[in-house]
This record gives sequence, C-alpha cells and structure tokens, in this order.
Amino acid sequence: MSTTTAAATPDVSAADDRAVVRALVSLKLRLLRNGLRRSPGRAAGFLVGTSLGLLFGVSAAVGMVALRGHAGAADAAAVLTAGLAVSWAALPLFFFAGDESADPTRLTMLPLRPRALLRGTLLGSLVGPGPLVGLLLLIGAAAAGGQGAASAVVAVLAVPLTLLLLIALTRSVAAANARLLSSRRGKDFAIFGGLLFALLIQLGNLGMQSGFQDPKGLDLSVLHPYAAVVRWIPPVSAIDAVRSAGEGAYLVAALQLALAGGLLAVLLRWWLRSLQDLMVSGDASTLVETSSVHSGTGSRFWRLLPAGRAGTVAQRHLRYTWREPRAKVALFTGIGMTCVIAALSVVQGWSSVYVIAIGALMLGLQSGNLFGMDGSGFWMVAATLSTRRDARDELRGRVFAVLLYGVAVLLLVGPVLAAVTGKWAELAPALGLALAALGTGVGLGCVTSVYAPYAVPADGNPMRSAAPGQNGVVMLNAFGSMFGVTLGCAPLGITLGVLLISHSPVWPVLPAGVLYGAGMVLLGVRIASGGLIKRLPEILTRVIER
Amino acid sequence: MEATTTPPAVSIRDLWKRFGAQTAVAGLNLDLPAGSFIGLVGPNGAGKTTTLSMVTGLLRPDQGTVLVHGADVWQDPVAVKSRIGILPEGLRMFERLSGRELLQYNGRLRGLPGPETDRRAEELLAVLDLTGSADKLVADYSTGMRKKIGLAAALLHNPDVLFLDEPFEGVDPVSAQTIRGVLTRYAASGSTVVFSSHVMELVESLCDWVAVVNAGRVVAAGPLDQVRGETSLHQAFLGLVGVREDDGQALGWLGGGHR
Repeated sequence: MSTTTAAATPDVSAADDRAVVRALVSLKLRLLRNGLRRSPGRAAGFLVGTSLGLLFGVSAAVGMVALRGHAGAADAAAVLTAGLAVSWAALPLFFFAGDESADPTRLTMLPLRPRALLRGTLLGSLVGPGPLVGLLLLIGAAAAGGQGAASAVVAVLAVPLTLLLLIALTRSVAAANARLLSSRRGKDFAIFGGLLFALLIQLGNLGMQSGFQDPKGLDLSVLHPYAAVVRWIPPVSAIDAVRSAGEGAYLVAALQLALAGGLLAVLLRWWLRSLQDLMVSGDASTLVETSSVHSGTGSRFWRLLPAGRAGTVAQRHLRYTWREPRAKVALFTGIGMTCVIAALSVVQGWSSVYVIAIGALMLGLQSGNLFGMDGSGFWMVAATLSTRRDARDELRGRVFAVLLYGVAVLLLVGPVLAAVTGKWAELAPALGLALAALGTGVGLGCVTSVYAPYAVPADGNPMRSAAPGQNGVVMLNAFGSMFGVTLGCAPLGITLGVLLISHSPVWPVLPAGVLYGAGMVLLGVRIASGGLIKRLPEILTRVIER
Repeated sequence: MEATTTPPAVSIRDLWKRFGAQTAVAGLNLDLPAGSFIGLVGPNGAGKTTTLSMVTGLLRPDQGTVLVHGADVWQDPVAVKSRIGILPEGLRMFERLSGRELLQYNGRLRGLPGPETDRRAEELLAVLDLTGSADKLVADYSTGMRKKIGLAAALLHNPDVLFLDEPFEGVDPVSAQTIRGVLTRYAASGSTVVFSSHVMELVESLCDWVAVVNAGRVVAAGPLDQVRGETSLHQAFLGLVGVREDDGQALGWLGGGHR
C-alpha cells in the first residue's frame, strides 16, 4: 500500500513523469517487436518495407546532397520538405491507425499526467522506420540548401525541430480524425478527406510531370514559385532557415525557425487538449448520440427493385453503402478519383472520353470484397443460404446494387466528358468499353469475394482497409482484380483498336460492350455462387475481424 | 448502520450525463459505504456503465461531483486513479503485449518499483490461473482470460476501491469462480468493491450492499437485506423497476410447429 500512496502524493511528479516517459517509449518498442513476432510473413514484410524505405531515404538524401551548388537546390529542398509534411499529415488517414501505443484510450485507467503522456507518446512516435526515413530526407534537404558553418549550426537545430513537427502534425491529424469519426456527420465529412487526398496526389503528379518531363537536363526552375511560398510555411521554414543562414540572412533564418517553433508549440498544445478530451469522452461501451433512420420501405424507388431475395439484398446493399462510413468512403473515393482524373485530363489537354474506362475499373473494384463489410453480421446471411439458387440470388442482388450506381456514374460522366472535349464520336465506343470493364470487374469481384474475402475493420478509422495480418489478401484482391479486369476486357479492347486502325465504324462497340459486360457478370455470378455455398464457413471466418 | 459513522468510500452528488436528447444519468445521488461488497444493479440502459465511467474518471459528467475517499475525481483525477482499480466493460488493452508484459507496463506506468511489480504480477497470474498463458499476446486471449488479465491489472497497485463493470459477462463458470474467489478475498481485507451486473443471483450471493438504478436514477440503495426485504432480490428488483407481466397475447404464432 505504501507505494500507491506515495504515487498519489503530488510531490513526486518529476521523477514519476520521467519513468512514465521511459515506460511509454519502451512500450512502443515492445509493441513493435511483438507485432512482428506474431507472424513470419509480417516480419518479412516489415523488413522488406523498412529496407526499401531506408534505401529510398538514403538515395533521396544522397541525391539532395548531390544537388548542392545547383541553382535550384534550395527550392528543391523546400518543395521536398513540403511534400514530406503533406504526406506525413495525410498518413494517419490511410495507414498506421493500428499504432496502439499512440492510442490514449488504452491508458485511461492509469493515473498519468497528460504532459508526461504527451512527452512519452511524442518520443515513442520517433521510434520506427518511418521517422528514420523522414530524418534522412530532412538531412538531405538541409544539406542541399545549406552552405558554411552558420548553416550547419542552424541545421543541427532545424532538422530535429522539423522531425518533431512532422510527428506532431501526424498525431494532431490522427487525433482530429479520431474525434471527427466519433460523430456520424464527421464520418460523412471524412469522405472529403479521401477526395482531397486523391486530388493532392493528382496535383503532385501534375507538378512532377511538368517539372521533369524535359529530358535535356534537370530544370528546377519550375519549383521556384512554389518554393517561394512554402519556405515561409512551417515546417518548411525550419529547413529553409538553413539556406537563409548560409546566405547570411540571420534575421530571416531566426524568423523562419521561430515560425516552426511556434507551430510546434501550437500543435503540441492542441494535441495535449485532444489527448485529455479523448481520455474522458465516451467509448464504445457507453451510449453515444444516436439517431433513427428512415426506412421508407414503401417508397417508390425501392418498389422498382425486383421482388424476392435479389431485390431485398440489393436494397440492403444500397442502404449499407449509404449508412456504413467505410463503404461510403470507398464509393466516393472511387467516384471522386474518376472525376478528378477526368478533370485533370481536360486541364492537361490529353482528355478523351475513354477516360471513363478508368472510372469503370475503379467502380468495378467496389465489388471485390462484397461480404467484407458484413463482418460478423455475415452469419445472418450465411444462415439463410441453403441452395445454390439462394447463393445466386444473393450475389445477383449485391451485383445489381453495385451496377446501379456504377452504370449511373458512367452514363453521367461519359456525356459530360464528350461535351467538354467535343469528341462525341468517342462516346459510344468509350461507354461500350467502360461498361464491359465494369461488368468484368463486377463479375470478377464476385469470384474474389468468394475466394479471397477479407475483413474490413470497423473500429475507428474508415480509411484503414485491412485487419491486422490480412494486408496480403487485400493487396492480392485489389491488384489481382485490376490485372484481371484489364485482361478480361482485352478482347474487346483489341477489337476496338483494330476497328480504330482500320477506320471502321466503332459504334458497334457499345452494344458489344453491354453484352460483353453482362456476360461477364453472369459468368462471375455463376462461378461464384457454387463457391459461395461451399465456402460459407471459410468466408465467415475471414470477414470477422480479430 | 456503519455507513453513517465512517465516511463513505464513494460519494456521488447530483450526477448528470446527456447524450443528445437522451439522458443517461439524471441527477444521481449515492453514498457507497467503505469496506463493503457493493452491487450496482439495473436493467440494460439504466445508466450503470455511464455512472461507473463518470465515477472512475473515464467519462466527463455534464454536472455533479464524485468523491472517492474524499478526493474529487474531476478535480484531481491523477490522485484518484492511483487509489482505484477499474475493469471497464469494453476494456481496451494493448493487444500486442503478452499478459505478463501488460502487467509489467501497468506497474511501471503506475510508478511501482520493478521487482515489486514482477512479484505481484506473478502472484496475480498464478491466482487467476493465467500463468500458462502469461506469454501469449492479449489479442489471443478468450473473453474470460481478458477479464482476468484486466482484473489483474486493476488489482496490481492494491487499490482502495475496485470498480468492475459486468465482470462476469461472457465468462465461463471456471474463470467466474476464480474471479469470485479473488474478489471475496480482496473485499474481506476491508477494501471496497463496486460492481455492476444484471444477474441478481450473483449480486445476492456476493454483495452485502446494493444500489438499484433505473432510468439514470437510484431507486433503492442500502444493505442487501433491507433492499430485498422478505422476497428475493430478483422479485424486489422487478418490483422496483416496474416490470409488467407479459399477458402472452402477442406472439400467438410462435411455437407449435406451424409456419
């Protein structure tokens, strides 16, 4: 009892806090090690990933150092740091949600002072391959822009400061995300996070293409206008302070460092606040605000669905797509990516109505794991499937739901693209190709849903797509489907190519594509329904997350 | 009654919590006597979990004060948390630690000396029949094992008051018996146990003091014999929360083999 009462008295804070920080850092290491020990495959994946990451980090750093003396070296350093900051900020939206050590809700029972918790979590976050790669890149960036002793002194300060800022940024975004996702409206809002990220990637892509397409030599001048702006924005400002100091502009360097320091202080303060809030707000075991949903079984739209099992299943699938944040995110990211690519193709001037085939590919992928979203609720489906006919109706219903919005999007985007580009002649064959791709994707999706299903974790982050240990299946499913769809559409694509080359009329591709797609859907449903009946227990085991 | 002479272990005054339009806890007042084995009973949705969360500093109340041995939970959460042990219902734990490591980190984070933590952890693991799985990851534990390792973590620092939310739910009879044994021993030493449950027989056999909660309020509280009177706790409970007997008119189609 003496130890606990000693811990309870407030005057042992300093030593106590240091022990807490040490324990939290060692906890992070232990969790990392235990996670790897769990499966040899994961350990191997981690090793390969880390090696590739470090290789990339080292080569990028060496590349940056090689740029020293080049006119645009400092600009490149600034842009690189900005890119690093954006990707670190976006990371928690997509990956690493499984970092238990950063989850304060697991520590709520312990008498921890929030500041000690913050320091421990911050230091714990520095452990791992990600921060190491970041450190390498930052060292490279600082070396590229700096010159002389003054730069070196500033760099010693700026690099760790920037790294801390990146981590604080990631954690703040993760905390904000967690808070956002605790409300239904927030979950809806998170969809736009996915869209925003899709847009950012495409913008980055655009920038890279315009910057590096000149084969004659490395022309970094395109970066200058961007660098001129971002060098004042922390955390980039800290790295650019190295250049400022090298050029003798000590006041500017000090100002840039102060900006970064200021942001760090603000972020840490905000992070601390959200840590405290997270620890005293309700978790899943307490009530949260709930709202009723309108079923509207009698509404005119639902009455359009076929009666019987297929119609019921389609209705449920559509409802789920709308109500389940993870499904919604997946759908809207698919549609968003299609729209973004279409818009960018117009801006960049390579636009063609055939772009909608890419959209069809992405929408078709929506059906690659039809049962994953059911999770443990899949038993209810499994309990009612007894004949092959049931299985076929179940698949038909789900397929119908996916096709309903898939076809609608294609029919909407296609004419818009044709109108914008004026290439109306392309509309018919492009739609034909796209519908064939959609049908192939959905048909193949039925098969992968049955033979390579995976769990979709329901906790916290709707952006995370795989349960621990199932990353391999997810990748296999996604990339296998993409490859399969491309291969499956090849006959139609080749025919289209032949028609185009021989200047024959291409409009027959539209009906051919519709038939082709429909055929692929029917084939997929046929193949999958047999497997579905046989593999019910296996699917149930796989889609239940653990 | 002893409770009036010695200061209460937990004192709850005018506690409120609303989730949107729904009021989970509505002005709850309760004094829990020190050194008792206390059962918090109530139907599902009565506000038991919400109350326990607010009492243990896990959920911020909209209004009200909670004192644990005189210390305000929401003024000085660190001091209170170091004196209490908590086993929440949906216990979130570090899944990728082994049971033994989980206890070791709990001890370190609570500021217990290393050797002392190890000694206590080994004893708790042995008593709770977890020694064989001490090096397995918590992620691979069964429900009963999770409750037991959670209980071990809650007892590690020898708290003055132990709060348990549905500690026996989903637990097999063997593990339940083990947990009962540990709790009885702990309570016999003069510490306070507060646990929520809707299994009346369990409360009746374990507790000497009960509080009945319904719709976010305390409808009865006191020593077990006083609350149940002449009937069983089950009967008394149904009377207190106002359950009407089902007349069986609905569900006429059920049973009998007709579709």
